[in-house]
Amino acid sequence: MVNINLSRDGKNSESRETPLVGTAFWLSSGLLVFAVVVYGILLSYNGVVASQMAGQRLNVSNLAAQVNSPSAQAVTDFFRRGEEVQKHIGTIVIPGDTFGRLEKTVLPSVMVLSYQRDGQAGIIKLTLQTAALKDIAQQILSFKGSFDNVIGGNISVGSDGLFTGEVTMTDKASS
Amino acid sequence: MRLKIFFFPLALVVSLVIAVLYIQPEIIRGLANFKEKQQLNQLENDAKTRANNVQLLVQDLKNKASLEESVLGQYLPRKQQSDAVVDTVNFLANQTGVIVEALTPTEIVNPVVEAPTTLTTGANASSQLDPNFASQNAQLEEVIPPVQMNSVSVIIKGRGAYPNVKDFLTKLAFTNHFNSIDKIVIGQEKTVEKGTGTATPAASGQLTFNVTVIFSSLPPVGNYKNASADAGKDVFAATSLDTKSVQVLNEFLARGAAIVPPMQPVAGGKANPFVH
Repeated sequence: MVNINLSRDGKNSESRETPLVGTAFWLSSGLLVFAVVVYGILLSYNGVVASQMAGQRLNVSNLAAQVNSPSAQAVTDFFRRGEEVQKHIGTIVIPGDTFGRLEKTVLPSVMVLSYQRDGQAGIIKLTLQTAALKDIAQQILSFKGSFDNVIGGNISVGSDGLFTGEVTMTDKASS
Repeated sequence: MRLKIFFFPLALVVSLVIAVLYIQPEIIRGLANFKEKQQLNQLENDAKTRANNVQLLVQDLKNKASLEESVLGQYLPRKQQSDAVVDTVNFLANQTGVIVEALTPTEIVNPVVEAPTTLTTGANASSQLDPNFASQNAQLEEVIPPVQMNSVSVIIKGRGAYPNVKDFLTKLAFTNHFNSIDKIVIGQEKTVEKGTGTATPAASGQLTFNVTVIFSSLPPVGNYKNASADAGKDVFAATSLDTKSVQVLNEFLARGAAIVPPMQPVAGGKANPFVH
């Protein structure tokens, strides 16, 4: 008679049962806690940074108030005034310089009847009078050395037989 | 048993939900804060430097106050001085021998300078993040107001010989009052023949001139708002006052002084003011 024990060993059956709190539980719990902790850290970091920035903004605002003080405005005034003056001096065209160039270039046979200069654009319009037509052509050529965009136009002969011509040109100092 | 089966996926799902809904936005916010803070640090450092420089520049200006008042303030006054303009023109006319026939001043209405709509510093990006930051930053930028000149256009009509007119106009450019000669019209003085009525250049060689000169003044700078940040940086970046402009002006005036002698006050006094 073979002695076979069919009864279950209580001790063995207990050891084969899966435990109530296993690795998966710890893993999932750990993940959950990690997520919450990370969120908490981020929340706290952002809160601290936001509060620091608020302080910095206030500081910047206070510093700005110093720069806006009346004494600082006096400095600004000096600076801007000087800057405007310096800028302006750089653009001044001395009429004497233009006339000097005109004196050097006007031919002896040509008479200037009228002179018009637009200060902003530096455009000079001249009305010239001469006895010969070729003088006007030569005069235009002469102007080209000292002025820019020299253009002749509207040449007419008067009852006295004299030629009147118009010349438009740009002052080099203004261009 | 069921709890064991469901706990792991459930925890995983909850963790994922926390990560997506809470952690991710916080990371984005954190990164944005980090970027903004860096810009804020830069701005704060700039503001500190400027605030320190203000003290130095104010002191420097106090030491050079006479310089500022006498040179810059006189050349580009804070208020338009029409009487000074008339005096100057009259003085130059007498000195150069031209006859001034008319002097017409007209006030020029300058266009209102618009405030810039965008900020120009590195704070530009951060201003998009925080409107309060932008407004505070703008306050710092309001330090430098736009420059708005007050101008008077003066039309001077007169006559004189060519050398005198040339001299007059040249000296006008060098006067110690911010001005620009806008338009010059010079013509031959003409005589009208009685019979024919035709106008011919006068034998005297006299010229008539019509000159438009714009005299300007600059009201005290510093009362305006909403200027660009770049403008402020150049003023308060330096630790000492830049007087190069005064130097340039002095050189210009010195060049003019060689041509235009300084105007001397004339002693007044007349028993009967109604006679010549």
